[in-house]
Amino acid sequence: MCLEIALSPGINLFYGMNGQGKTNILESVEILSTTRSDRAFKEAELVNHNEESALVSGRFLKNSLDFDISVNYYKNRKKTCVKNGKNTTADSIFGSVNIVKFFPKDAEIITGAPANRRRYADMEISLTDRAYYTNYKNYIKLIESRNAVLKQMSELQERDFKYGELMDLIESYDELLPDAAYGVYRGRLDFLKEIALYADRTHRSISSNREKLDILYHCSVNENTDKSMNLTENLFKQRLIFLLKKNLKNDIIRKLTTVGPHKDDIEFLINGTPAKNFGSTGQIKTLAVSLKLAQIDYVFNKTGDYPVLLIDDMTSEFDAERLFNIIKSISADMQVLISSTDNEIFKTAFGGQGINYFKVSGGAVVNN
Amino acid sequence: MPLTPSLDRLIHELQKLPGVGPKNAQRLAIFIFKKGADFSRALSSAVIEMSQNVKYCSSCAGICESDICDICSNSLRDHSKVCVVEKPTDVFHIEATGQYNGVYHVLNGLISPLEYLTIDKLNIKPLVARINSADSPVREIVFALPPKVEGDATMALIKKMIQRPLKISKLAQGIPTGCEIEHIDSMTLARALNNRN
Ligand SMILES: Nc1ncnc2c1ncn2[C@@H]1O[C@H](COP(=O)(O)OP(=O)(O)OP(=O)(O)O)[C@@H](O)[C@H]1O
Ligand SMILES: [Mg+2]
Ligand SMILES: [Zn+2]
Repeated sequence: MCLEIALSPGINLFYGMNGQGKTNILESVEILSTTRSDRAFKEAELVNHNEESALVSGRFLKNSLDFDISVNYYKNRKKTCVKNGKNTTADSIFGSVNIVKFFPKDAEIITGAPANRRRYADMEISLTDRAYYTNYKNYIKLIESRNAVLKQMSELQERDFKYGELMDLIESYDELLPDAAYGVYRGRLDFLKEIALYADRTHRSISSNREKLDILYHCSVNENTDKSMNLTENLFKQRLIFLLKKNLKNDIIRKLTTVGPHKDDIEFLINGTPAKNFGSTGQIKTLAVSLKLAQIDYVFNKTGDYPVLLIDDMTSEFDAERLFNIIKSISADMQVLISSTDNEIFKTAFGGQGINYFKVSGGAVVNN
Repeated sequence: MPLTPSLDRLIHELQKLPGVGPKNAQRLAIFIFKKGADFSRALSSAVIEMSQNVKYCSSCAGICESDICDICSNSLRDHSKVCVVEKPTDVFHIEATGQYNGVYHVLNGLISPLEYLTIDKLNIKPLVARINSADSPVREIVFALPPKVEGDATMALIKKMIQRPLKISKLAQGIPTGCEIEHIDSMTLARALNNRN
């Protein structure tokens, strides 16, 4: 099955009944931006159950330059990527196009596990900052390698000759970790500082100035009682080296590295109270929207371009009119893809002007 | 899809080559068949001759056609300087720059516990023995490993295992991170060799 869509530069509304493929269409744009889908746990899940492979292709126009991106997924093979007709790596496609997603799952950034928040920050930073992305991947590889060695050590006796060899290897990783870890720490701090600035502004305006938003970074390397106190580069590295050593015995038993940015967390405070535990459903939704709107400013500030917005399940999740007005107030010529089960609400709210309608049914666009 | 017994046997063997899947193996087998008997004879004798003649150098683990390679056996080379590389082909790339007059040591891989590549699977201990032995001529180590996690970890580990004071350097940056030695053009590689840090 094949679907080809010509999008308008403005607002594109995909509407139709549940399970017809609206989210799939938005997801395809996410794939062209990041080469992965947040929804699929494994790449193979993106391939139709009855097919061997799946292809997503897009043509983009950015600063009067046009380029093509394709990502091919397979049942039993790694994905392949093509840019402008040439085979290339997923990394070199990653971030060619910037997106900001408003998905129903966004609330999980606030209410979910720490891993959700780390992924949110790492993904958003990486899309506009390749150096961060490369360093982040190195950091994760160092931690995973270290963990693999810890696991081998946990199966040996300390007096084993092999144990000593593996200890040398752990020490080698511990020499490399501070630089990589600091890069992740610094990158996240800078990102959150900027996001907090933008998000607080929108959050105040959505909440009619009743709610103040603060974002704190909880660093596992930081042993100050006040976790929001940032560490200098030297102090961070010293603390990390000290803690890696101190925790080593315990790390071997747990087969995991228990300190470092991969254990950190982000906390959102509304009027000084943690939103995760005490925020109302409405407050959390508002906060999630504020974060995403802040992301638009962030991308614009970093790249000089507005991202493509993907807004999934508009009508069920958000106060559509309000969100819509906010988005339009940012820039009238931002490209937006919206999915919704309802198209009437847009017709009545905006007189249908400037909106490109696509009716989605059975995985196809039936008319527009 | 089975073809004839002989073709299937060839396809079975070809599939063991890296990057060759069932479809490609079939295409190659049919190609070899179509090229005729002379080509098949030349191909198979080249393969057999190579496997009989090519071996790992007993000193540096580079590839050569004698027990000890031309570089290791050359007394005009500087045997106090050892360049540590990942793969045998890296030696040929560095030689092509004409900028290096020492000898080599090929690790035949990099440390990567995630891929079960541990110390014993690589040619690390012979290198350390070569350096640590009492009568070792080695005074300087040049690491020419790819600038990525595996390369950095391998270098850090070898440094730990060295028990004598040595001059240690590595290829200068300017080599893109994550890049394999073989993908670097000679000019860049020559510059990196001359600006070690
Ligand atoms: N790998 C797959 N192979 C075949 N069909 C799949 C696969 N993965 C998902 N689907 C189907 O695709 C459809 C999901 O489409 P999608 O989530 O885009 O719907 P939607 O229009 O966004 O629905 P809703 O309004 O409920 O959010 C479902 O019918 C689902 O069963
Ligand atoms: Mg949906
Ligand atoms: Zn040799």
